[in-house]
Amino acid sequence: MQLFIGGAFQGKREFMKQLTGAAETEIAEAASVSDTKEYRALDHYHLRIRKQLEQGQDPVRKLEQLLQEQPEIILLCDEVGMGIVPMDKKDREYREAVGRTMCVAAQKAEKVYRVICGIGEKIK
Amino acid sequence: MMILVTGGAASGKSEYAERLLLQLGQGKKKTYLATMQRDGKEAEARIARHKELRAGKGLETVECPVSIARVIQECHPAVLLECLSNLTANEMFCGTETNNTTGEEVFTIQHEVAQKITEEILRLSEQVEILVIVTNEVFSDGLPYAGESLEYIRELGRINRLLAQKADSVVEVVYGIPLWHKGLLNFER
Repeated sequence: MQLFIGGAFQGKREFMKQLTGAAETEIAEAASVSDTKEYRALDHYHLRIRKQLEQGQDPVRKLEQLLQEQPEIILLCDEVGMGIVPMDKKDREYREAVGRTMCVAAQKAEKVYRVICGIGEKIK
Repeated sequence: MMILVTGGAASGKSEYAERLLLQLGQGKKKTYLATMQRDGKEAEARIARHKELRAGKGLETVECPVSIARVIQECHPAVLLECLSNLTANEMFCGTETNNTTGEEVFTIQHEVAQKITEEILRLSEQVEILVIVTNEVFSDGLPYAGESLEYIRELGRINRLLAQKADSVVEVVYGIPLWHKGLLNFER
């Protein structure tokens, strides 16, 4: 598994495509895709986590299941933890869940890239 | 030479950018391109504080809250442009028009400002020897923005990417510590 992280609008998807050669048709919107097995990469994984929370699912468990089924999957996820604590409880839980889930993802990933200003760097 | 300096709020990026300019621009005349809009006491206080910090450093201040292209001829060979988050906000949100029915002053929004700002800055960089640009990391707080705020963040992200592509160096400052993402400089490592 390869993980691409960074702030919003930093060019993660472009960088990932250049690096891995993935085509647009191989990339799915993580929050709305029905069968992930048809795709090579899941973009906006943070939105998938948000949806899982809304449906009362455990994002870490869901990630582990996904990785068992598709150990070669590419995940793209926003970094969301660098702001003040959100006022809303749901937003706090979401931010926490994305962080915790991505820690697990980074641990399991073969490679992790962080993208800033369009520039990607391998951090693992 | 063009260097893009990024970092979070109060990360020390301004001081670092200034040191870069003073070091790289040694022996050259220097301009501080200030983008803050004079729109109230808080702005005046910030401007006064920043002026004090720059006093005696040989930086001539040129104020330019919008349209960098207008002041290119006034700039010395070494320029510090601070900062893109202000400039982008000014370009996007500073227009007003009068509502015909109510007579009220309402803000107007300029869309797609990234291209204009980037082009103007690239023109500036061609005219000067050293350009240090300060931008801002506002992309990782995870809040679900919408509308104008989302558009603002997207435009600033676009400007950062476009400029980083053209820049000789890109550095992120984390609590005063420089992390070079592009074109490592042998500067106080």
